[in-house]
Amino acid sequence: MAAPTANTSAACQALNTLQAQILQHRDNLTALRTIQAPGFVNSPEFRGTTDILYSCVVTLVACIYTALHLNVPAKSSLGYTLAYKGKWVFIGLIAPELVLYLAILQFAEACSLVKELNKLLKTDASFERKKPKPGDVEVGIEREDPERAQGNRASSDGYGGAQDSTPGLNDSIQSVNSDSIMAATDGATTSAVTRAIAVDGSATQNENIRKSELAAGMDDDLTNNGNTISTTRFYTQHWRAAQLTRSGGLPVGSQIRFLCRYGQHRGSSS
Amino acid sequence: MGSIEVPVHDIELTKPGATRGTQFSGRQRLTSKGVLQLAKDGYFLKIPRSKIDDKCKADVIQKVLVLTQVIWMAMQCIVRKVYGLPLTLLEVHCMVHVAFTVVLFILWIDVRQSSAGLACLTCALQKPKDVQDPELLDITILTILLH
Repeated sequence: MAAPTANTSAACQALNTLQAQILQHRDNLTALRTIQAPGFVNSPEFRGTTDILYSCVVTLVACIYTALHLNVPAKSSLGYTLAYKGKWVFIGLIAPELVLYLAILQFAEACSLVKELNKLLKTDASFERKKPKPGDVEVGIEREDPERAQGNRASSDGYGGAQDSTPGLNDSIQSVNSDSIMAATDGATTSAVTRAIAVDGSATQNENIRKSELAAGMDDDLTNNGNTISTTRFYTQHWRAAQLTRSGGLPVGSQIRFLCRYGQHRGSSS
Repeated sequence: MGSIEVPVHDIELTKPGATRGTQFSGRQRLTSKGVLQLAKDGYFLKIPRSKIDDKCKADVIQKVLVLTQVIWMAMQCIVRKVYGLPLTLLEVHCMVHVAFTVVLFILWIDVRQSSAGLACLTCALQKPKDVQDPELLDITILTILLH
């Protein structure tokens, strides 16, 4: 093997003689130690199976493992993280177009978000909060008794199941209502629950987030419209937000929860 | 995506064993719609770019290294093809992945990868100007998880 090729350059000649020498003393370690090599020796002109395998595997790992930008895993333990990533590496190995599709989706989502946020910043709409006019929103407050709260919880659980299986903008209204009911029932088990009746007549229920306020006995005052400036403003603000999104008047927390849940239907995998 | 977490433990039922980001864990992740809705409500999330960059400095180096290896491999294959030398099936398969990866890198160029577990930073929400109610300040602290 290692027959001299047609290449007759001096370096090649030297390399070939070197190779011949090494092959000749293949099993003679003392001889191998004394062979002098030039300063720079080219790689062999041919490649073996391991070379191909090595370069391909390294490239594949680089492509799939490091190119994946997964979501932050649900658990931070090392085993879970590795399994989570391993699953996606496998998917990327079998069907790279799937990962590419997800990446395109996320990129489009991020682009549209940036565009929308910039539009908001430009119009400065987020800081143009007008003071609520009297009669904009009527706020009626009543106390929820625990039995009714339990009933509501059962019905809202049914809603929740339906919402999970059917994502979509039309269903979002349904899910918001069920969400608000859930928020209300959750609150009923811990402290008081307030109910706001919005302008359109549909009853939306709101949990008052601040418990210390209730502890201070302010929930009695909440029934009085004259003393509910902050609460009215609270509702008005969210009523206005609801008008923007047609999603119903909700406290910020419930909106966040709704939006979190809404997003779980898609794009949550990667 | 899924990088902004909001603590909802005060308005949501929690269970001790729930995995992070699920319904009963007390923390939920905002979608882009959620961020947009918050901005429309007046809670504009302002996260300085420097804070994100602080968390993952090695990211650029890693990407450059990976791209170097990938492009080197692609160049070898292209040159072999041009000279009419045979290509193995495995190399052809690799080339397909390389093509996908280059597009992926372009799409995910701004997405950060957390190398050492989860990197957290907190940021305060921008409050609407005319709202002075203390009850609205309950969610002013957000935990932001970086990729």
